[in-house]
Amino acid sequence: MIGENSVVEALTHWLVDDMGAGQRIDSVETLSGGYSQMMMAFTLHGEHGADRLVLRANRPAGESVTSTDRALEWAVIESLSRRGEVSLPTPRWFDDGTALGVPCFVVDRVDGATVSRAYPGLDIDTRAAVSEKLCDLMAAIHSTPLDALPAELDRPIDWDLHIDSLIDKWRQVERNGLEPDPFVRHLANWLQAHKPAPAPMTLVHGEINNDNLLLGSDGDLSAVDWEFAHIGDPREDIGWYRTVSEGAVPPDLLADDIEGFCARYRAVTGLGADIINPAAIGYFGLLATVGVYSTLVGGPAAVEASPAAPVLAAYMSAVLSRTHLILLRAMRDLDAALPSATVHNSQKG
Amino acid sequence: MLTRPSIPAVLTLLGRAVAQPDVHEGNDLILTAQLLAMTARRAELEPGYIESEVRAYRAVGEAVVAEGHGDTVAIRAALDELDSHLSSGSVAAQDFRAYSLASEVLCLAIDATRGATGPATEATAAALALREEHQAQIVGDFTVAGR
Repeated sequence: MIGENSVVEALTHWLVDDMGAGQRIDSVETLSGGYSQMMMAFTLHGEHGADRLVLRANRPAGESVTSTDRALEWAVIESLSRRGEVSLPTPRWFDDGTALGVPCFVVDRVDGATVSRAYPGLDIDTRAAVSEKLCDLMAAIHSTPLDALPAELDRPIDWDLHIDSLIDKWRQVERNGLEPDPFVRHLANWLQAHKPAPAPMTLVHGEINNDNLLLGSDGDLSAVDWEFAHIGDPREDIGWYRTVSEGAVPPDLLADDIEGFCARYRAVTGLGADIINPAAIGYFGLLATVGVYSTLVGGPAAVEASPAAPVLAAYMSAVLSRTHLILLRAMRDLDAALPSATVHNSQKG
Repeated sequence: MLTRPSIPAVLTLLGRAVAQPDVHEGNDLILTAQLLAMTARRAELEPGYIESEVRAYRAVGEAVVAEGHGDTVAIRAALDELDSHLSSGSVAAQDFRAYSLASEVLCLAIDATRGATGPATEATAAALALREEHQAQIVGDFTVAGR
């Protein structure tokens, strides 16, 4: 763990001594919610006043729970910031590990709160407005021209292959579990057989949830934590948002009027109702759940490996059982709305 | 139905957790209470469910092979492994190894009957429904603790 005092020292050396970006640094504060990366707010004082900023850095080896590339994340947010179409904190400086010993970057701190925290205090009209802003933010992300993005981002060559690779993650999860899981095998086959109409490949944020959406004091809605950004199907973001909002990070801002969301999103992006509709979004909600599910399946293994495992590990195994039932119900709900294989992919699997 | 982690492993972990001096300071007691309720249901229902599901999945495997769906060689091999295990004298009602082998038979049957119709396909769907029904009984009123 990197302490706040050592961060002040390292940041001062980097930003004040080397970069000449200011005169002193103080008010360092560790931010909660950044489970995968280290996040600290701090103030940089200069000749013309003080800037409130956020440091985002890799956790030291042994403390990290995900392995993503800060340099690539930086490249993505820098390219988006340059275009100015997607609302996100302005990126300031990147360091490859020389300054803090781990790759890191600094962005402006948004004056506001996450949607998770802000939403309960909003009135009905403001809530509706935030839902529309979420639609517009997603549409803006997904409308980014691919040639404006860093060349290092993988470009899937084919929609079907991309979706197949996501379905294959479900199969891998099933194979790696402690016991064979017919429900997951069934889900993978179902996903293979019920692919919706293909969408154009776009930038995908990869982790849009209410903790990664900041509602500024000026009313602007911005997206943070771009570590899972990739090029894929735009409905990955929408489906994942809905799935995670129903469970881990409520509320689902789209739940009250999903048809309205789809209509607005279609109007902004120009995509048709064959691509953007509630059933297709539901499909991607199932597809994208594999990330969380992969984490949950680690629970049973941890419990059997050690009686000193955290209670949360055992709890995850119970959540897994409940998740099965939710997935099965969702498949049944979508069965009628999504035609099976013969329409689009003719049992390629 | 998920039979792992085993009931003894869960109870050992929970027993250790509630003996910790700071157990009242976090959410662990809430989670433990929920887990104990679910584990009690598992202890009561799991043996009977295992026995009936092993029997059902085995019948599904035989039906899929008989109708010639999918990779019948692999399904036959999985059935033989299950039969060999069952003939070794283990008690099916408490046999997690048998449940695992039978579940693999069902997995192969699901793959084999994909896009097919007929009695074996219907039997596969029925076995999956049986598994879901049992799992729902065990999950009961368990809900994810709010954040």
